[in-house]
Amino acid sequence: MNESNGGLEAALRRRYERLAGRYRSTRNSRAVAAFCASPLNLAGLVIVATVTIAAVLGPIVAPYDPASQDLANRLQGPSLAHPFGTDQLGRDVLSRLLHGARLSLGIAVAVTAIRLVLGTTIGLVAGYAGGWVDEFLMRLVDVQLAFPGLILALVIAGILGPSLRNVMIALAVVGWASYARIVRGSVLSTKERDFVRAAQLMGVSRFRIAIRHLLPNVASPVIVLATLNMGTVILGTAGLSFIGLGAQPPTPEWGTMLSAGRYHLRDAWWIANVPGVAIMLTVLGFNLLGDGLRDVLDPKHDTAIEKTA
Amino acid sequence: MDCINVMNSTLSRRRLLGGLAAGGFAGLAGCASSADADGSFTIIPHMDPTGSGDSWGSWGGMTPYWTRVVEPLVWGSDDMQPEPWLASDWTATDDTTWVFELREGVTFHNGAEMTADDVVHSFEEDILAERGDFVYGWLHLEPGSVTKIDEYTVEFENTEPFSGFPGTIAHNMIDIQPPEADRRAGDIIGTGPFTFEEKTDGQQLRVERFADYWGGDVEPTELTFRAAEDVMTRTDLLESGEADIIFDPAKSRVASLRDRDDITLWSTQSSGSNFVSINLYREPTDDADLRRALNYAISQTEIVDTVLEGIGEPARGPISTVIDWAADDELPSYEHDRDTARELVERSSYDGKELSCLVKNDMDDGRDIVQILQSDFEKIGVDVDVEVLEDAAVSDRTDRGEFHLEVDGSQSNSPAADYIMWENFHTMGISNKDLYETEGTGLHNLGGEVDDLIEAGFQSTDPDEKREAYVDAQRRIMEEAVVIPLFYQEYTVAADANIDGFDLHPIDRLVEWRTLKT
Repeated sequence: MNESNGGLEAALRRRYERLAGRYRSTRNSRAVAAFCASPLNLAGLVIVATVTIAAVLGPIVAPYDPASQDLANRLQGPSLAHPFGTDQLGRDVLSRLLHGARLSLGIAVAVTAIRLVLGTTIGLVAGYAGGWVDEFLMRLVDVQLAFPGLILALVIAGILGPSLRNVMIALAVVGWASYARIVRGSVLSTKERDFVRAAQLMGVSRFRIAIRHLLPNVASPVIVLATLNMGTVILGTAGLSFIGLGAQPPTPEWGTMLSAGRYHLRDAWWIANVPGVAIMLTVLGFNLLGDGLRDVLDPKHDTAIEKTA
Repeated sequence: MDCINVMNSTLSRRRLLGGLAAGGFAGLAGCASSADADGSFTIIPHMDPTGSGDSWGSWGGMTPYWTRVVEPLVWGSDDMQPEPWLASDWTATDDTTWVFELREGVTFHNGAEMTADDVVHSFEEDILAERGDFVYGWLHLEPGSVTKIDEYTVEFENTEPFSGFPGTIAHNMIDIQPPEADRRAGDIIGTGPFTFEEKTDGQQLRVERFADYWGGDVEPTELTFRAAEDVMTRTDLLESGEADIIFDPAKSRVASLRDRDDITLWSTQSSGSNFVSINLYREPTDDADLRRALNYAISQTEIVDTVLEGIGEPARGPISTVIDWAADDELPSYEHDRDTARELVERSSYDGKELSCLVKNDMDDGRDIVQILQSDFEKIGVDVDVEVLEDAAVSDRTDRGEFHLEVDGSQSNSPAADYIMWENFHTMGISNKDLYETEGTGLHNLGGEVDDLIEAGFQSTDPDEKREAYVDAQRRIMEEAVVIPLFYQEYTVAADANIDGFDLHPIDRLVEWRTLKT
């Protein structure tokens, strides 16, 4: 009897997985199609891909050493030798931009990853454990959200002292709460669903339920938030570096380059404008990508996908 | 009807448009200068003229610099000599005692006449009692050392022989106010050509002409000192006509300002100089060969010509040449020579580890200068880690001696610049004393004969003797490469071209506004 039940269960599971796989496959295809159907989404993807390639290959393809000074050729305008001109110390702006891309993107990825891991863990624990644990963690979230993010980051970076590492800490500390909130909300609704209850009845451990059943169900909004966050972090890093709390000389960080260039806005517009446009485009790219992902990953937008399909 | 006809004709339209344009330009031209015919001027110094707490708390939140509301007993002449001001004369009666005769007929802004009681009160109750220990070391006075001889005579007893005392108190901060003034509350009662009227912290303060000024006529009716510490903002405010006079416009825009007919620029060398201070008591900068190598590695001329846009003079020593005992030509020359520098590095104990170099984040051009230095040092095989920090963070590190190099500077705001030598290079100077007393070290003090020479210069009343001692001390300081001189400072003032009657002073904080007019 038991063996018979076991065989039935296995057959049912195989059928469920086939159906689920087919559904996922169909849904993913539709999502990709829906994403590609929007020119804005594609624009975001192209920008992010370009910046990523620049970050990876930049130090290899950069024509000059980003720290190499040539005071005799300072403040030179764009030319074949220096497509984006030279800065106030005669350094090649293009080379600094390419090296800066790796820094900016690296920091954005690192900070977003820290925020994501911290916020998701706290949200998962709060939502699944409930009770006083939920209360305590959510009050922590409330406290964090009560402070304006960039101001708090500025205070933290100010206390820790100027360095890129401290900027990363400051930005990571202030940005995890929104992840925690989103994850908690998703977990609260997901944990009441039948498959979670079934898993509980089958004696699956709480940790395994959280990782195998709850986490995948909150991934979509977290990915969207992370993508949108990348732009915010790049802006925050540039902002803190602009006011002197970030990269130390001669590190070619975009915000620092922008700050140095503001003294030459009239006689050498390229020093500030090149990193300024790079920051703007990168943030725009991540925002467009994030918006696009939200549209196709959010279950509420399934109807939109279906319409497109 | 005529009007309609006029407007209907093409020519008349042109005329009308032309007239409107001319009116517009005239209006803009009018807006372009806030210097009114009635004698009011807007001035922007390079630091916020307002501020309570630690900045200008002792003057009710008003800077005593530039505002000319309060005055000291002694002023500084254009050639950096002490000049009678509220005191008409002074004599040294022995090595440590000075007798100052007060000018008669000086009235405070409240109408009362200034007497010896006011001077004693200002020194004893305000300057010595309120402003902390640093004043004792600066003025070499202690509480109880200022006494009234008669209504117009005051005696000062220095803690040790100090020939530079009259020049040292020729400083805006050593001001005389009557006991009725409540400095902390902002009730400022000075003797200057202007009276304090109002202020908004972080924005501006306004002073008005004092009709009974002891020094004679005062041309301006009103001066407004605006806060704009950001150099670009300051320059924009001048160009837009919202300011009449600004100190230190952006160097990158000086050339374009010079080309404008509606703006005048003046420049003069100041009493300040910039240099890299080296920590003599931390490895490996305790090695004189390495310090000399760093001196040979850099080109002061290159820094002045590029980052400073030519505003400044390449320096050979730590003391500005406007100070009469500065020794520029007489100092050892470290001409830019990378080969010699590399040889010295090889000979030194330098082991390849990074040297730490501090620079304050509010230092003009500090980031660019330190990067040039970093690059120059790298070319001779010396790696430097640059840290751009807040003022307090730099002080914290230097107080503990946790650095190798600091891009630094010094400026005397009074004609007697003795304290630059004392505070920087004497073992008991403010830079070195604490570390010397706790660890037997210091920062930039060679000690021994250099201390003796500084003391001799500090105490000597004979100008030639004083100069000889200080020059010898500077020579030894440079032979041992205690500092890396960078440049002697110049400061620039940009103003509305219609303004007349403005004279530069080597100490920018001692400029006069009394003859300012349009």
